[in-house]
Amino acid sequence: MTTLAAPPRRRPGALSLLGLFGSTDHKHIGLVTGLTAFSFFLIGGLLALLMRTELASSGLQVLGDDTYNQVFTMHGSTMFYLFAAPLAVAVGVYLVPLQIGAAEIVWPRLALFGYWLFLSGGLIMYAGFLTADGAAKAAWTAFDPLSDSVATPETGMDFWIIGVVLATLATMIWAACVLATIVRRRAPGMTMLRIPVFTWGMTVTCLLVLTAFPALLVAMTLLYIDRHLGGVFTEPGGPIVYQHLFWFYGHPVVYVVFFPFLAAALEAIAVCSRKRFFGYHAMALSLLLFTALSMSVWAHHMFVTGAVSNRYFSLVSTALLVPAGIEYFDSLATMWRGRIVVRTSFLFALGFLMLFLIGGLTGIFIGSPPLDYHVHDTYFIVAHFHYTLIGGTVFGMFAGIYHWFPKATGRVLDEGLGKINWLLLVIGTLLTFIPQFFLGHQGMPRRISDYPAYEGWGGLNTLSTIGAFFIFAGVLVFLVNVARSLRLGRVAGDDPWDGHTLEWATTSPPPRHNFEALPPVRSYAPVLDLREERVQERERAGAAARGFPPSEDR
Amino acid sequence: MVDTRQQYEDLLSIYLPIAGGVFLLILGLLLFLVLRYRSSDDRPTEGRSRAPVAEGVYGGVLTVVAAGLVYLTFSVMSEQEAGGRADTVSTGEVSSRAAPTIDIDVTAARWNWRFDYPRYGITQVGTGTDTPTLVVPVGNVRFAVTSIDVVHSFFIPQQRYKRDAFPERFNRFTLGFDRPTFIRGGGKCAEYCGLRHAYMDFDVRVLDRAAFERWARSKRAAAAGRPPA
Repeated sequence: MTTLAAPPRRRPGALSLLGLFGSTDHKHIGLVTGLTAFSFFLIGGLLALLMRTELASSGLQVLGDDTYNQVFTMHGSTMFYLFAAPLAVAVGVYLVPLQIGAAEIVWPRLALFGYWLFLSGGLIMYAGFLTADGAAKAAWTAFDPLSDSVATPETGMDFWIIGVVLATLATMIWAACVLATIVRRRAPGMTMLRIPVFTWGMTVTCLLVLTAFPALLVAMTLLYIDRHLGGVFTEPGGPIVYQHLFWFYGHPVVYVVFFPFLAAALEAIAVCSRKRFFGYHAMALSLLLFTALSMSVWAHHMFVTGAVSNRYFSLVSTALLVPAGIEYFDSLATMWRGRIVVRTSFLFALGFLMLFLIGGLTGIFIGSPPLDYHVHDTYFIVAHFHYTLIGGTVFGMFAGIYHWFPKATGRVLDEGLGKINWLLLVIGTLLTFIPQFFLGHQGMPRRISDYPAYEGWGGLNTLSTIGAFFIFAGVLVFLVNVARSLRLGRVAGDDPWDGHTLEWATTSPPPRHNFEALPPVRSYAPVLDLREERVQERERAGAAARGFPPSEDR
Repeated sequence: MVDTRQQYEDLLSIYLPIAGGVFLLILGLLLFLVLRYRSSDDRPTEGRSRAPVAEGVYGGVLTVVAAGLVYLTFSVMSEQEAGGRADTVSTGEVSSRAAPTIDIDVTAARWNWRFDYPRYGITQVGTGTDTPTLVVPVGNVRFAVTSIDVVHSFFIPQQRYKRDAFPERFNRFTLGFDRPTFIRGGGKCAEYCGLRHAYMDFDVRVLDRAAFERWARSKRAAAAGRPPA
């Protein structure tokens, strides 16, 4: 830099926007990916508001049938391919090296390449709106033959396939980087049974991504060939083969977008309970069981096809309640005899436990084929998976954001606004989706742009739409909170929450290579170990000063 | 008679209280824990962080619960399968009714339904403006569902039952209708099938056996009186 140039306005060490988007620092890649994914979350949310507005009452008021179909297709596609799955792995790109005491992620350039694939995929998918016939309109599942060149000849569908492939490839690349980092870059002393809870969540997430996502790439490639050359799914049974390929990805992906956020909520609970996470080994074991089972249950999405073994898929789907129950046990037992401080991150973790529970329990219902025969493809399913995706993914994400925002930015999010944000989201999620259980039970199919007035579904739909605007308001409050706290928020320091894991043993934000020095790692909560030692020493010193012998029990 | 509605309600009456109970229990525990252990003391606590025996026992209890639910589900599935089979060979209860089960072939298309009654040689089909009507007699009806284009799903909420309609494939199942009724829009397409998916409904008319036979005869006479369309 020459002395003649005007002095830079930014702080030393801060990056230009271009620098941020071209940096191979895992923290920058993670942040930029997270921001991009969150932007897609906002866009997907606006699409949902459009849908809810249209469905508030019978008749077409806002959108036409064709537009509605594009909107719900892009809502689902955005939320899975461009928001939840990329975000789930991106939080690992940011946090895992910090949690395991690594200076860098493995293959940083590849991870950066992944970001550009992801961004291109998202833009190409959305470019469908610029074509004459609009964006994709075959739902996020794009079942064949609906997605073939006869039923959906439009270019938007091709853009969608390319977008899905690019975004999915990116997610797989990050998963490979994160998993390799966990395997190869752990701090001295950190065995696999000492990695933090969140890193366990990321381990199983990456395993799932790497084993399940290739099936989607295969399905998309075959679909693209089928659309342009023909002859792939045209044999009898072809549509069922497509569904198998799709759901072999499509079920594990809901766990991909669950584990990291579950683990984030668990970390927030342990830190806010000021207590070591309870049942670490049971948690790790149940996450692995979860992973194995979630790879084995895909065709419970196909109970009504009459083409799969409903008994087998019912059995393994119901078995999922075992690992899920253990996670709940561990989280409740962590609070037991803790010293709980109710921060916003803790509230979101509680919201996670409460709302995900609704999704989980109704999931047991639809794991039973005779119950699923009725509610399959109705609003009951819509309500069920929104409790897993909002209760799980979104509440877990906010728990994580409120928990780690100070680490990433150096400033703490405002607690007052945070609690308003939380309350609006809780009210919104209950009000939007509880009525949908009843609508589904009454037989309202999903993916319909309109419903006849004589069905009497208007009232519940209106309630649901009002709820959606509460969620919207909650997200707005969050955006205000971020904008405000970035400038005016309390300065965080290294460790504003009395954290347990290594990321709290460095500055906020951490330097380029993360750590100046590492504390010794003797458990899955090394920073908590240090704090306990200090407290004990102080107490021993105090007791010695008063003439008591040092206490031996621990 | 195959009563899918009753089977659904029976199963739900077990699943729902269990789910409700678990939900309230965990909600109660959460509230209790937060209120009981809320504290401004910021030293870390050294409470227990593992209890392998309790966790093992708890895991065992969960497994038993899961096994119980699977057993109930499998029982109902066996009942449904047995109902369908008893029906095909026309034994016992069904033959005593002296009215054999009828067959209806259902063909789904974007965005319409066709119902063929092979034994009677008649067909019910909707037009661009008229919703088709599925006319069935009281008692068991065997359906064979297929599609001529994309995947659809034949869904009658009143029966608590649906099955997908695939091209070049028949899904066969038996539904029992218990009393005469008419349900406007009582049948729906549940699998998203494109532009007019939302409007792909059909009406359901259940007639008692004699009325159904009369309807079928007059329908056939009307069809014979006119040249085929």
